[in-house]
Amino acid sequence: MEGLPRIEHQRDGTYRVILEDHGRELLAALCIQAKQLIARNDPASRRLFPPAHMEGGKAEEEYRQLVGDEIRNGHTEALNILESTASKDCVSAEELEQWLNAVEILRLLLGTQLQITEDMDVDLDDESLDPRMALYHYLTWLQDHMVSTLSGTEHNPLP
Amino acid sequence: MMVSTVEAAPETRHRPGSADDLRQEGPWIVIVWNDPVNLMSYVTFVFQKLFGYSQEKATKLMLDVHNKGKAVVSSGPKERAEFDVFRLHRHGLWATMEQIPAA
Repeated sequence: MEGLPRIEHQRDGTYRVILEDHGRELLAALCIQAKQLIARNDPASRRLFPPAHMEGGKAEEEYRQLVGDEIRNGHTEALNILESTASKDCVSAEELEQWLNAVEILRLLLGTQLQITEDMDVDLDDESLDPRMALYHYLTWLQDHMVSTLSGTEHNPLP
Repeated sequence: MMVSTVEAAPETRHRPGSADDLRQEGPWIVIVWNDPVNLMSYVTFVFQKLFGYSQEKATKLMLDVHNKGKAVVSSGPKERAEFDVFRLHRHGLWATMEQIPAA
């Protein structure tokens, strides 16, 4: 995998993104794929729309009618923003929050496709490993880094 | 002689939406369930962002989800619970809502 990206909080409230072009293109391409999975109701995308009522039935139908479209549009918007701003060297706090939402969606989709389990032990040096597994771990690292940066627990030297 | 009690006591008849009805309805709780994908740091971050919980409270709830499989993260009237579940779903968390039976 390419070098790990860094996102740093700057004095003007924006965030500086240090990431190679390859990583940026990869994120944008993943967003396009994710939108396609959502658009065709791929089984992997079901995890993005969990039930609100365990027992299903009428209550669940009503919930779907009430907010189903809004959840779908929200996911798509986050993916659109990451796709269109992945090439930027500097993003706003709002954009970074949407990056975080988008990376969450990408991890949920990949995690579902890879049937990730909690205690899965993965050897990233194993050459027979599904390449998507390395990608999943890359996104995991990126998401954790974004959370640290947004919550201010990452101590970046301010310029 | 049999006397109809229905006519005699109309004020005790069930009227949907009356104050009595609301009192009999228990509050709703919002539950977040453990899942293998969501990161502990992300779940804590979302609890703080959506509910304004302190780092300590958000972390405790996240650990309950992680260790016990689920945690009640908010409660209130149906509309409130619905809104909270919606926001949690927007953030990729696996949340459901259920009504607490009236005492």
